[in-house]
Amino acid sequence: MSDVFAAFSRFAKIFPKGSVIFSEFEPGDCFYLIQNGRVQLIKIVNGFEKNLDILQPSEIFGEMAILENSPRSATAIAYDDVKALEFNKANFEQLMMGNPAIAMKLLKTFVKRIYAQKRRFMILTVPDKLARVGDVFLMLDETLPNIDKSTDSRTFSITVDEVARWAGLQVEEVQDEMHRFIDQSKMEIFDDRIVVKNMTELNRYVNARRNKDI
Amino acid sequence: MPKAVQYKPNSVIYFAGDVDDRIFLLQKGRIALTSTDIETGKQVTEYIKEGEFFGVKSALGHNPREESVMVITDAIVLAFSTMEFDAFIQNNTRILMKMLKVFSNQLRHIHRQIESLLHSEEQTNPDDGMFSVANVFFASQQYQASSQVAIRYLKLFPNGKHVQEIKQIAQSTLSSDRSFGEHRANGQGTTIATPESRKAGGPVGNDPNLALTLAEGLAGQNKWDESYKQYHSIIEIGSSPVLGKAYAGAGRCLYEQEEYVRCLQLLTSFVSLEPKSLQMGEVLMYMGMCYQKMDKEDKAKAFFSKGLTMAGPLLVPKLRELLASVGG
Repeated sequence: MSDVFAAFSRFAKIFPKGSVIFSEFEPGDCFYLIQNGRVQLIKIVNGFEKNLDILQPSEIFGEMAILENSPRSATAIAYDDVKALEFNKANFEQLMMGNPAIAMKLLKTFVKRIYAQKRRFMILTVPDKLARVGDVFLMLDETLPNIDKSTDSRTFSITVDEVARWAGLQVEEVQDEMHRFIDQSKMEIFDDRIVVKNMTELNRYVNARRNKDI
Repeated sequence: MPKAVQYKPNSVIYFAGDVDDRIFLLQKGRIALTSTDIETGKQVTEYIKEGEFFGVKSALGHNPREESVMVITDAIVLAFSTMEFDAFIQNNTRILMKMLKVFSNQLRHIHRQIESLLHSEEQTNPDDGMFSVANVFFASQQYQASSQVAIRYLKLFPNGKHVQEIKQIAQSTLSSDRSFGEHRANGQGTTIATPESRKAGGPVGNDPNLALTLAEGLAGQNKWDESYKQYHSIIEIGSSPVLGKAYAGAGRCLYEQEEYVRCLQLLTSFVSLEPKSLQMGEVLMYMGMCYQKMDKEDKAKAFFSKGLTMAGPLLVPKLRELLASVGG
């Protein structure tokens, strides 16, 4: 990391590889900026671990806790030996005022998360279940890096369970809807991946069915 | 330098869907932002006050504009490139802080909306939630993570619903140094727990922090005998950052059980072991209290006085009281 953060070294914390930085459901009063190493975010969903993200140096996590002691929404675990700056409500304002570069980074993190959450929210507001399931794939197509977009066909490494979570539907409901797509030869489903045959067509289908009362 | 741009009424600064990295500051005039509410699909109009920014999120996130901006009265607007905005805002930390708060509020608001759509039924309470986290990590053999979550649980909920189960998780995970992410590499999942550490209420393996948490919890319930065992397990490990606390705690347990002679023996050995320990004030206090109970007030007085010189601010009033009680 750049020297910008040298002045903050006294707020640096070391987390050995594999250690828990915070646990889901724990009240949170600080957030972290990674200096070295990676951090894995894990959420327990229906009794299973779901890897939400692996964060890289210079990324910020736990930021929801800045203004509110809300329970953590995921568990953060040191994926490598991690060095991170720890900020809390007490030192936050002072630190941000003293170091606008960090504040700016945080501002951009917020922007990114706000967009991600809004997109997620959009899925949940699609009234038609089939279109809603379709919208999960549009969202993944828009947001996942490293997707092969050379043709209209897309392959997503995702399971029906995960689609159900994004769509806010029961797994059985999603299975039914997925079968309708499969029957129309619009999708193929495998153990470890789901293939959308024609993304452009799916896009048109879903967007015609969004909630519009204008 | 940001450019000042003049707009006539009814002109449009940008449309929803436009891609454009400029950030605007309304200097003078009146403008309206019109966007579509995600949930209801209805049009929402907001008015920007003079001195306020708009277009910040879409520009910083390189996303299409979400709102259309219409000019109502003659307006002057400063247009910043993202680089100009960066430079400007970093010299105006007060505005930056305000924006952080606004964005943080928006993020929380949308989180709540999603939560309410997803599980309007019931919220997991943190007690059950953390228990399930420890449990799932345990089941998938992430022992280190499981035990650390268990320790955090015990600190947060010393009288929680799942204390017994959590303690078992903590105890049977301690002797394994397997850590997160490694179990897949090295295969078979043997849950290692020494027979001794499995005994209910026995010392919990070799993690001084966990033992300390357990010991403090037991002491909080006046279970001096069990608490002493946990403290003693830390002392047996030898050098650790919590050794002083363990001696002070063990001393207290012995004192509470009226084992004054044993208490004095134990703490005397600590005084020579770590004369500069941060816990020395407390250790000397318990020694003094033992002497007091043994009717050796002179000795007690000497220990309380010495303790006072080494005690932290929280302990000082108690030591003064004790000293006064032996006529010091």
